[in-house]
Amino acid sequence: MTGSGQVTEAQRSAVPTGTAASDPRPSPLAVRLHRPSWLDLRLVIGLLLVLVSVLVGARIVAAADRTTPVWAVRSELAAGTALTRADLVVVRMRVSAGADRYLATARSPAGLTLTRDVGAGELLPAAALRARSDGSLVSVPVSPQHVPPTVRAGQRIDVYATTKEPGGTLRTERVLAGVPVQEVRFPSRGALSATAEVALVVRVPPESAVALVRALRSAEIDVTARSRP
Amino acid sequence: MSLPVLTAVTDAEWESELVAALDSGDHGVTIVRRCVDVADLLAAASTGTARAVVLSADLRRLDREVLSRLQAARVGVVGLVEPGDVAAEHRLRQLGVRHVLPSDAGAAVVAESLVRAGGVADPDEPPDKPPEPELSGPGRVVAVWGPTGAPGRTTVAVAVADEAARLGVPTLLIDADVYGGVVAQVLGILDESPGVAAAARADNQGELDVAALARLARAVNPRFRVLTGLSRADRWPELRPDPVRGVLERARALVALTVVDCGFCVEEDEELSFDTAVPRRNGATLTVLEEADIVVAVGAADPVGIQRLVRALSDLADRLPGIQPRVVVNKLRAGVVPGDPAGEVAGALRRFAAVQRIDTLPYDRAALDRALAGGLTLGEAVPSSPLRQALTRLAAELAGVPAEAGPRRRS
Ligand SMILES: Nc1ncnc2c1ncn2[C@@H]1O[C@H](COP(=O)(O)OP(=O)(O)OP(=O)(O)O)[C@@H](O)[C@H]1O
Ligand SMILES: [Mg+2]
Repeated sequence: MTGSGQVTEAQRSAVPTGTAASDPRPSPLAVRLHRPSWLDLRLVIGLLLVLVSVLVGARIVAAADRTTPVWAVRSELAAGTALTRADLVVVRMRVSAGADRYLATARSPAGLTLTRDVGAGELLPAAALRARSDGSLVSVPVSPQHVPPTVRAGQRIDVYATTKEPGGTLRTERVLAGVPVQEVRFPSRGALSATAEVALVVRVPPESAVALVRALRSAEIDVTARSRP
Repeated sequence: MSLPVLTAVTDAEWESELVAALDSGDHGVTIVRRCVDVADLLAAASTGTARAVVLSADLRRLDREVLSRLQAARVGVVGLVEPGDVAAEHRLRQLGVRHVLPSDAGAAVVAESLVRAGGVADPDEPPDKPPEPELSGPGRVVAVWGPTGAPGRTTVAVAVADEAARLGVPTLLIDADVYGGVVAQVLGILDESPGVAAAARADNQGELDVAALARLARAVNPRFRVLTGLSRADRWPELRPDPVRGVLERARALVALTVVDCGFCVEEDEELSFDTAVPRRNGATLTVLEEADIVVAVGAADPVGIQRLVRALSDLADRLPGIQPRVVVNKLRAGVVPGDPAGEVAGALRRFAAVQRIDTLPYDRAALDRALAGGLTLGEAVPSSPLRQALTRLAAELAGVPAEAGPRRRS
């Protein structure tokens, strides 16, 4: 028939509007430039870019954090001090060549002895530690009036012994010079176990232990604390 | 008076038997020439001495073209097939041969058919539709046509087909532009599909049924199929009028709505038109316009576009007087037409082309660029653009379905 701009009712009803789902005569699918879908190529590339930059960023940050935990001392400690856990803190240090000169935290150095002085906050050099400490531990009792109240473990002290000569003159002798305090025991205020004296534990070579013990038995003892040289 | 007839029968032995039988008895037919091949047959037919021909189905180069030339020469056709050869009979009927006999029918029956075929052969009467229901259907054909100057025929045809499919109407878009089709590019179709030329060739051979048409089309989505166009403009002779008519008939059986993107030209090459054997470039366009239920004439809304549209409408009225196209004015924008552009355009068309009603489509370069860049339809790329929404309304009217409120993203 020839065309007409007007659509008649007969024509309207003549047009079947079925769905293609049950199409018995399907056509092959066209291969197109873009199959429009939410899985657009650009979307996928965008997601990949975001993912890759997150991963790369995380790696860079992780790589930048090349720090290793090492031991440092909390306060100034003199050579000869036996370390306790309370003396030590962990600090993170940026790795560079020679990091193994310091002590990693895998093992605790508590119980080892310092071979030289270490200042407060300084890293603990591996070379400054000795495994065993020789010498004898001697407890130096001293009345609180004769020892600076600030004395603490790790500090160097001098021990003076003052004796009265038969002629009535006083003689003062230095029996220990510059030994580190291993431990300080202040007088306890327990009702039954009260001790009036401060006990300072020091480590001395066995040969000087005799002179020290004699002085402790026979003389008045004074302790002076040295400040760090 | 005895009817002058031709024979073009391939089986030589059987042919001489038939000729002898027809000559001897008084069957009312006289054999004027025994043709050896199609060229011989057409030459004999063109002399006008014969009124009917009996030919074998397996005659080489027998196609729709040959049969329409026989019809033009007022030569009726009786086809002979091997007894029981259903495929050959089917093919002959598809080519429009009404009288098909088994070759063992006997001289008397053949002669009787020749007399009937010779009696009704009349070029003004369309060849009888074969009774097979598979060959045509109730689907509607919309031709999108318009003057030269790229007013947007392809744009409108693609969008109307896509939107109709989204509205639930099974649709086939045919690119029948004899000046080189670009529908495949517009839709971003990458594979080289056989398209309309292959469909026309198959129909010319009498081998196009609805399933074959479906196989030659490509599905953009299950409801939207495409028959792509000529890949090169110089292949236009592949789109002859009769095969194009056959393709449209199968399309009516395949889908509810067929949208055809036509070429622009309707004038005939006058010096050539006396020679019916010479192919005419605009023949396919004219056939589509004749066959279509609705012709959409697309023009551009600028002074040049309106002028061309007015001329094209008057050419169309000369060539095909029965057609009342539905006029769509595309690329409507302020600036190029002073004042109220829609009103001015409507007034001009009323005055110069007696067009009472027009539809307008807004100019929307940005939306079309986005769609073209991605090889997408407007509905896929820019569903909310005003141009797409105007085209949805147009598609609903052309398909005869209610337009849905609001844009739908996926069909
Ligand atoms: N409404 C519109 N707004 C803006 N541009 C448009 C519009 N409609 C069509 N165009 C553009 O106009 C150009 C021609 O369109 P189209 O190819 O559809 O025209 P045609 O009539 O099929 O041309 P041809 O003669 O080449 O077949 C294209 O670039 C198209 O994008
Ligand atoms: Mg075009």
